[in-house]
Amino acid sequence: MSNLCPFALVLRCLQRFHSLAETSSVIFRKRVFAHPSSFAAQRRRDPSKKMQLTLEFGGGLELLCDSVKIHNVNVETPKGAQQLAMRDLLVWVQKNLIKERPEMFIKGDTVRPGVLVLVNDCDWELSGQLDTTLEEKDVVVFISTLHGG
Amino acid sequence: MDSAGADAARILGEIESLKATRSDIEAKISALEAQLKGLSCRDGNGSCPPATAAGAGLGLGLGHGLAPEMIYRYSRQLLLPSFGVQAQSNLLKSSILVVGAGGLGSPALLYLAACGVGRLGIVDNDVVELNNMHRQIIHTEAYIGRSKVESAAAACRAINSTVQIVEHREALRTTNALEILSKYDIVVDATDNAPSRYMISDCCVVLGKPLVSGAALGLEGQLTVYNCSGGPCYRCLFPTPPPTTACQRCSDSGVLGVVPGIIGCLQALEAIKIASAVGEPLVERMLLFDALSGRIRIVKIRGRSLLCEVCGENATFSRQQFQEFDYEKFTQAPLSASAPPKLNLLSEDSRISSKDYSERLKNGEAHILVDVRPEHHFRIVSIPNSLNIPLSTLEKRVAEISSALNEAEGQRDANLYVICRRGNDSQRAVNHLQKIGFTSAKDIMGGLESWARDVDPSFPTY
Repeated sequence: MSNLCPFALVLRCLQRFHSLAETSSVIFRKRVFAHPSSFAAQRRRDPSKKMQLTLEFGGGLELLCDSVKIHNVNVETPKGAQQLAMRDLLVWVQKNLIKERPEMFIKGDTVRPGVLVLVNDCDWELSGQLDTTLEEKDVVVFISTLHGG
Repeated sequence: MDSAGADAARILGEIESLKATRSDIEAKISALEAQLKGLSCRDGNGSCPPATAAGAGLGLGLGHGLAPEMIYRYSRQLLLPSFGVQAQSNLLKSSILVVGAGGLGSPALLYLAACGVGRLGIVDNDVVELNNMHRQIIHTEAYIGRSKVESAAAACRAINSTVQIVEHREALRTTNALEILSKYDIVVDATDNAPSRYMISDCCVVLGKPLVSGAALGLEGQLTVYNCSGGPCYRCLFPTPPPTTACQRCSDSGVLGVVPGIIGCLQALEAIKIASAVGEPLVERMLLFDALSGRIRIVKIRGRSLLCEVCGENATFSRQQFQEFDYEKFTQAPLSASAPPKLNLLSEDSRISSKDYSERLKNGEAHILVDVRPEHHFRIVSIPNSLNIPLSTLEKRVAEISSALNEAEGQRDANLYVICRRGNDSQRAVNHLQKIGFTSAKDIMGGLESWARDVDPSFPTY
């Protein structure tokens, strides 16, 4: 229970993001108020436990997953791994959510050019791209850049 | 020495702040006077720099150089404590270029003209069309068939005759971009295609101009400011262009008119903030708008990339390199969002013109016509008795084609024709059908567009 201390959460935010911009304060709120129970403690006891994530697709990428934009999913941490990384999540998404034209989502081991990935409203470039580790209740957005006008 | 310096700075700051307050009060008095006397306009724009000529020069003792008519026109902005006379004065001295007078450019131009930008440039090469009107609200029906720049300029002048409107009735290219953009302080990207976005961003980096970039499609919009206050450029975010199949067009995917309207308004706002030097520009942040769910999220995006090929630490992207860069080749897409190029996938004998098809229809030839457009296109309009099997579902629904062919008169001799909107998807479909045994399948060249043009002029186009 003790590791739910808001200061620890703020510290984590600070580690993840380069600056404590308004986005981080949103996360801070979310993490403090949306986490009534001790997920972190649970995960320490059982590292392979499924993690609840919200995945969102936009800018046309939702068309690859039956036109559903928001997916509340449970993703298992890969065997032997301590944490779920974005690298693992991409594999999971491709296997479980992408229903057509996977080349419109993935290129090589990462997303195709023109797709922005946001972990808790923050560009994954700032948190380590494929190495970004995820936590319970994280929100991951995949958005295709638009060109129209 | 240091403390004396600090004191001097403090006093100077205080003087500036008192002067600003005095200007505000003077602006208010002057607005009331103008109202009272109906004074005639005197163009004092820029003739009287603030802070140096207070109490001198303009007779009324104004320190900001705003003529009485300007004060009255912009009074509601002057009354804003966080905007006020200084920001308005900055705005009046600024110049902004809007590239594209379409869905984004329409509201952006209207607000930029109305708010009192000094000089407003418009670049576009298109003409106004009826199917633009739902979103390109700067244009009126009277201008259909005429230049968008001409139409937009007339609308801007009608709103504010004191703004200098500059018409650039040409497509922006690497050959003219440097010359055009260099004449403005701020650039607004209101274009509709990927190569233009790379070209405009690169040109802004080369010239050191801030770029307000907006995009909208369907029911979503995106907005950010590039190359401003040390932030990233378009290439920092998207070093590699997306595949062409990921670049959807409004003319294919559709767009709800108000969506680019909202993004265009936000572009005007960002440009006004930069021009008047107030507030925080949307740098290293991106606004994502989802109209359907009624959500706006502002996300933090990466900063300037040290490795960026154009604005990075070791980048040497010069004017000459810009002029020689082939943006269409780089993005594999044309510098205008016109219709996609016509494919030629099939041999001559696998194709038939819409006129020939109408002859065969008249002669009562046994056949089936498969329309491979998406269902929501089919619901807009279709040729009577055609069978809608969208291309994306073709593989799964081959059996339906077989049974329709069996039911058709003449049994196995019935012909199979495939049609779509413009004649590309029908070729892809025929290609697939021939491979799986429907060897007589033919595509109707040019699709429903050619049907409307060459056979039935009353057939609706979209």
